[in-house]
Amino acid sequence: MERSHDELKDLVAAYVIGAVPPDEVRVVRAHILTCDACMAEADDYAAAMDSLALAVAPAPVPAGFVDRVMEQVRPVEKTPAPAAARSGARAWRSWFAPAAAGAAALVAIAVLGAGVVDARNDLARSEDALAQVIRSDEAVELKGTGGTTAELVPTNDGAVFAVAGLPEAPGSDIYQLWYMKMACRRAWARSSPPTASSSWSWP
Amino acid sequence: MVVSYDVSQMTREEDVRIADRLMSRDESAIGELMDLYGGVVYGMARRVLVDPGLAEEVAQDAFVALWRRPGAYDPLRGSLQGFLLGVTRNKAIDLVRKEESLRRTKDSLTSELVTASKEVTPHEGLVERESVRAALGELTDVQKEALVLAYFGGRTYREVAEELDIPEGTAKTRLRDGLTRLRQLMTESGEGR
Repeated sequence: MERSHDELKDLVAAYVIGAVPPDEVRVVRAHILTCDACMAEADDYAAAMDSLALAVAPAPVPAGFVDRVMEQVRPVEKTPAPAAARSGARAWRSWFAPAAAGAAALVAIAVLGAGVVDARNDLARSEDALAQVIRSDEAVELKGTGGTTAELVPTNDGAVFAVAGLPEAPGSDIYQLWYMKMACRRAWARSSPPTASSSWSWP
Repeated sequence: MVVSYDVSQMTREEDVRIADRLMSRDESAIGELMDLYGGVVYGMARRVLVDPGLAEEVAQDAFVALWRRPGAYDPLRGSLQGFLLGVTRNKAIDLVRKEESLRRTKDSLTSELVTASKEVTPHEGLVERESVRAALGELTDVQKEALVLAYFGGRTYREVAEELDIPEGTAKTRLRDGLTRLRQLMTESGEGR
């Protein structure tokens, strides 16, 4: 049933403060966006709400707080850390998690060199490939079948991808890694990599 | 519209400078931000979550998120402090909504707001804070209660109604009247300065 202007107007304050239940949010937002009076009211409420935040008294930050933040913001090449240092749920993200989104619309999946490479051979040549994977909260850890693990880390120009425990590709097949723009990621994520060889085994 | 009670022009210019430094990946800008706003950001997280460990994680996330996406802050839309506090509050409320056990009781939420507390550093928005506290003191108890439950407790208006045993329409009205009055008082106090 269509809701009246007055009914929706009654919800503008609750909407601004985030107190509209999820099942009503869309209809209230749609109304505010199309009603100048309610939009103006929402602006006023928003200003009042911002001032509520200022009422909170500061608290002394825990020891080490600043250092722990700085560890996460320093240029990634300065902060290699062992895998064990990463913790729990935050570090472990699923294959399609949107965790890399912070890298400014850049990376979907990544490379050790542009285009198609024989990743396994490249990595075999480089024992410390995993060590080169920069530890940062942006990293996406991937877990494949049969104990294969990999990590994808966005960088300024692209990304670094490292993998361990990849089984032999059958026959003459090779592994392929594709570098794609962020805009493609969603489409790609719905299916297997569209042009990957049969040896690609995730998820 | 220019809001007179908002941060001073000087602070806003400083916000613009810090935002520019963040955009140019100057990590010392984050250090400076933590010096300026670490206390209030952590205070906000504690206010919503109580648990020091979770609060620290949320407060750190707020700074790290700004570092990763400096473009998310637009100096034309408000102060950097306000932005950081908003991000922190949203992250903390998300946790509260996911985990029932983190919910603070109505009484513990409402008891602190207007109680004066020892300031960590005098330059962390003391004047604004005192103005807001004074304004909150002017609201009716029922308006304050509804606002605090929704804003710091993460309750929806339906939950506010249930918790206070009032009709949903009354909960909506209290939120609306509380915000309207607060807005009015803050504007007046800004004009008086």
